Amino acid sequence: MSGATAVPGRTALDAAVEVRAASKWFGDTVALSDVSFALRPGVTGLLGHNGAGKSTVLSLLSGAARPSQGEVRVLGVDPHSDLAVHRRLGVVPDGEGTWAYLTARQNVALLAKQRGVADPRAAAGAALERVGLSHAADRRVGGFSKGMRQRVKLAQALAHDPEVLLLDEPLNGLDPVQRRADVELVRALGAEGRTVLVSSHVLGEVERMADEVLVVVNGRLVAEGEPAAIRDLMTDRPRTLRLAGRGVAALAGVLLGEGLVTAVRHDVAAGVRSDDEEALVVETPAAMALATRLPALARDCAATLRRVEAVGDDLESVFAHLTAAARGVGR
Amino acid sequence: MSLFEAALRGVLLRGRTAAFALLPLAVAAVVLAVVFLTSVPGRYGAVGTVTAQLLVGLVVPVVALVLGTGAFGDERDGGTLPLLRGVARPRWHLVAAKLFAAWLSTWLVCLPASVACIVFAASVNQPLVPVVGGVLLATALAAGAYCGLFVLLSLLTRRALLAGLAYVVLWEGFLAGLSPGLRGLSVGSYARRVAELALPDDVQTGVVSTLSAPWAVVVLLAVVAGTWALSGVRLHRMDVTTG
Repeated sequence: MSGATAVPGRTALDAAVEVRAASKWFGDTVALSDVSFALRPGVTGLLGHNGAGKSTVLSLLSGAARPSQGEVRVLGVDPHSDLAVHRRLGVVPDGEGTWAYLTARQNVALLAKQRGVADPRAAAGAALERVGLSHAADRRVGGFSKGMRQRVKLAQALAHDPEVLLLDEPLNGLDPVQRRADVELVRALGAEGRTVLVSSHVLGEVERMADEVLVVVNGRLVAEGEPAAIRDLMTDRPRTLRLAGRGVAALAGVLLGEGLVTAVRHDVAAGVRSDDEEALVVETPAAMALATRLPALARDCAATLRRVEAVGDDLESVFAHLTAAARGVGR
Repeated sequence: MSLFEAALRGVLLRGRTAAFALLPLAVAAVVLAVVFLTSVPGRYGAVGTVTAQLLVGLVVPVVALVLGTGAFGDERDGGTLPLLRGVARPRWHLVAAKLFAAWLSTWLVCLPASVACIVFAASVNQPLVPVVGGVLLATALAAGAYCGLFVLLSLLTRRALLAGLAYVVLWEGFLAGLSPGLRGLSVGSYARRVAELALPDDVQTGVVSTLSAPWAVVVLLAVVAGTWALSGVRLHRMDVTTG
């Protein structure tokens, strides 16, 4: 767990998955740099923006790629060279990952058979039922929606009843109802004692599924811990907020005086509803404190806030902050 | 469903396969037209060119190029290569399924043209058994060797179709004929040596290996075995990450 922020006391002793100082580069591009972690049974989220290295981590764990440096162990063996581990390991890879000319049942049974399942057809039927796709089991996958194909991939990963599951963005392409169902499914898989690593670039998704979260930024593991701790890390950081409503200028003066904001400027881009309304953009070094005290301070100076919203609050900026925080603790 | 069956379906159900099946069908139609529209002396001069050079030297490698490079190329493009790698089977098993599916498909797709060439060769008073055996054996071995090369190529580069086309056109079609030494490195020269079993002794068959037909068979089988083994090693060692 080298250098990541917010590390609780996890050890490799009971770990089904271990990554030790692993790096991976492709030519001049470093995809992963000196990453170490261990996973226990339960659901762990792998959070990072697109291109952060999530798929590379999953590729190393699934044996699809070898680390350029360092070591990867899944159920005690190297997943790249020990083929038998694939009987106990299920993977939902990024991308399409289904054979369009086969039915859903054939897609699942084909892999189940190659992973040593005695009755692959029955196993495929059970897996498809578990992901809610039994009604379409004998239809060709080529005619499926993206969400249905995603579920076929999940069934492929489940059919051989694996101990370790690696799910690369499994909620991509799903509608809200399917997402809710799959979140429940992933939680249930973790509750059954499986070790599940699920990647996403959406913190909210990971929070709902995972007991632990790993945050990857630019190929480095920058934070690790319980979702609430990661949420706190991401919330209590310098932020830019837009305030709109009546009496906002007076409120901004109070906020400056209290030290809750460090800069204020007019937001000319924001639409205001009437002449006595105004919009300001403020910079705050302490978002949590500001959020706590803002209602009372607005009431004290008779300001009416119509809108309070974060500006530029995308995952990229969150990760930039975490990267800086990680550097601060020695990375 | 076995890996081989899935691979065979993958090849045969592809639109590209149907499109390229038109090439042997067109060749078959032209060859049969020649059989029915020309006299025996006229056909005699062309039988070597049609069977050894057009069928074995062009139709088979072009079809093998498309079907062989697609064996793993389509898996890579479709995102299913990581799934194939994630099975508890030796890599050479996976290669075998893909290679033999491409090989069988190529031979089947070329069968109409092969049958037309059998009719052509038999029509110039060649004995039927050597004609049938020679043509089918030559096309089968050529299909196997070319598929082996192109399956390997598809694991070495993402531009396997382009590289394979350059190989067929430049190497097999031009450079291999420049000297006897280069001829020894041409799959087509060995396949044409086998095809000569079906043809009269005195017809032109293009660039042909100096080895005897049995040794040509051995060389072609060795190409299949060698490319199969190398493909297995390559599949085991290669990274299939998308991240």
